[in-house]
Amino acid sequence: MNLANEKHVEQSHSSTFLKVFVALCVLTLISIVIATVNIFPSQTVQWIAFLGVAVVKAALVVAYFMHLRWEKYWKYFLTLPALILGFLLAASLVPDIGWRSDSYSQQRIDAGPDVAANESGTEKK
Amino acid sequence: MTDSQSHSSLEYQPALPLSRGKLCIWLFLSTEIMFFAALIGTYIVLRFGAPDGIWPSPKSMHVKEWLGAVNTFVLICSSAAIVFAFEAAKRDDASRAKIWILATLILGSTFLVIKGFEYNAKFSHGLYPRPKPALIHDRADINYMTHLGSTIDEKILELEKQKDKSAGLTPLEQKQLDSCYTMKNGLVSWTTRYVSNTDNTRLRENAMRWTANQIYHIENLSTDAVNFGTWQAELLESDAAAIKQNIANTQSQVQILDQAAKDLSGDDVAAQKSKVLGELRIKLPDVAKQLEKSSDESLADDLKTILDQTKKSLTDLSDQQNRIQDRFKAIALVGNFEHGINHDLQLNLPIVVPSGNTWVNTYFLLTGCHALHVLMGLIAFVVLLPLRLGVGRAGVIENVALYWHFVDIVWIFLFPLLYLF
Repeated sequence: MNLANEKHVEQSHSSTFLKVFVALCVLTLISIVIATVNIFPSQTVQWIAFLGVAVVKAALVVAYFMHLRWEKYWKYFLTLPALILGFLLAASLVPDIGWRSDSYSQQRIDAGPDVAANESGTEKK
Repeated sequence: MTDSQSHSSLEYQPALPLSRGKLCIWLFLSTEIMFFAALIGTYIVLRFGAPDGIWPSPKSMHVKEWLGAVNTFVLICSSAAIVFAFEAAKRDDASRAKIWILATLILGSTFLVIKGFEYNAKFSHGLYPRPKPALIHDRADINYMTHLGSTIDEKILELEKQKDKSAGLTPLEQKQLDSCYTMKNGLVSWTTRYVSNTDNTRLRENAMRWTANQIYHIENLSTDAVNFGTWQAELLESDAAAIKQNIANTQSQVQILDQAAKDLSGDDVAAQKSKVLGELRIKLPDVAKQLEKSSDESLADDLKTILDQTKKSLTDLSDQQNRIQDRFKAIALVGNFEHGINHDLQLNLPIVVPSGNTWVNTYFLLTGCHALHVLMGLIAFVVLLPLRLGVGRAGVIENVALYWHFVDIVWIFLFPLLYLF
């Protein structure tokens, strides 16, 4: 390992860490904005936006605070297989759990005003 | 492949590219990644698979977005603090490192304190994992109405028992008792009766959903279910007026028939018959028509049968009137409560939250596992604090920091998933 090189990298860290900290705070604010300002065509898009922000935040923490950015090749062996396995486990639940409501009757889903307005709920018997 | 080549490739590597402690912590974090990726991934699959109205909104579950945002900020700050602690330790600035570790400890504790307040809000509303019979029902159905009825009965029994004791009831308990009686008649009995007499599925559903919503308010409820009570009350107003008129009519009928029965009770039935029938023809032509066919002997009995029938219909009508009064009383009662009966009267009656049980189970599993990890980190900081945190401890601080950052990452995902979805 090149000591001089390592020293050079470390010197520039403190300001980088501050920048990352600010970025994390700003991203938290962005996710709150996503929650309050509803400009998304569908809820799924909004959810994916939330998760996208979270992934960026997590990536920043991993890359800079956990300094994986400056680590050697071993970082892939210890993180990627675990991530892939975790993802596969969740993915294997999709057919039974993720799609469970596809067969729900409308009665089961009290979907709110849109569906209800067409039904005879508030009309006389 | 020659012998010499294979020999050289098997050369022993004396050094790893990272310290042994760091390797161990990363191996541990590797298992942690799988653990939390599985938990969070499962939650995402559960949540994405639930359409609107099937999954409770954060507000329905007493989740405060701003508390989650504050906690997110607190954890980000603590992550940054431990980064600076590590930097200071590398420079051998032990006192500065100690200050940053202390800051991390304080921030981490703040997170747990806020979490504690949030948990308390859940527990006080009966929102926690429970074995069956679960307090939280998935749907407002007959099963729920039965459970609600039996729980109210139990509560009445308990309060009545306490009433007999010398201490008596506190004002709140008295209010609980009165409300329980009102709910038993005007909410549970009325709704159960209404549901069994109504063919329209939507009306049945709405009647029960409305009842459940009075016990515990949830969002995502259709407007006609929310307004069912007031809509029904309007219909009942006209019903009540009709019944009142009907009762007055029936009462006068009973009086006339009573008088006729008295007249007939004399010895000379045949003489009285024409007089009684004549009177009845004017006052109650329908009854008179029926009685004209009966013989002199059976006339008194027939009249008595009709009198009994009329009396019975009178009791039926007054029962009906009482039920409507009970219903009005219950509607007036629930109108007083802004947040639902359970909240305002501190009762613990069964509630209806679609997917509510799945929600509390996953919420407490995710946040509980995370809070335990936070606690472990805090213990590590407490252990570190009395030591000299110079360059000699930089490796240990780095490892603890890696762990702490991972805990932060988990929360980065939990915050939008639990508070904003």
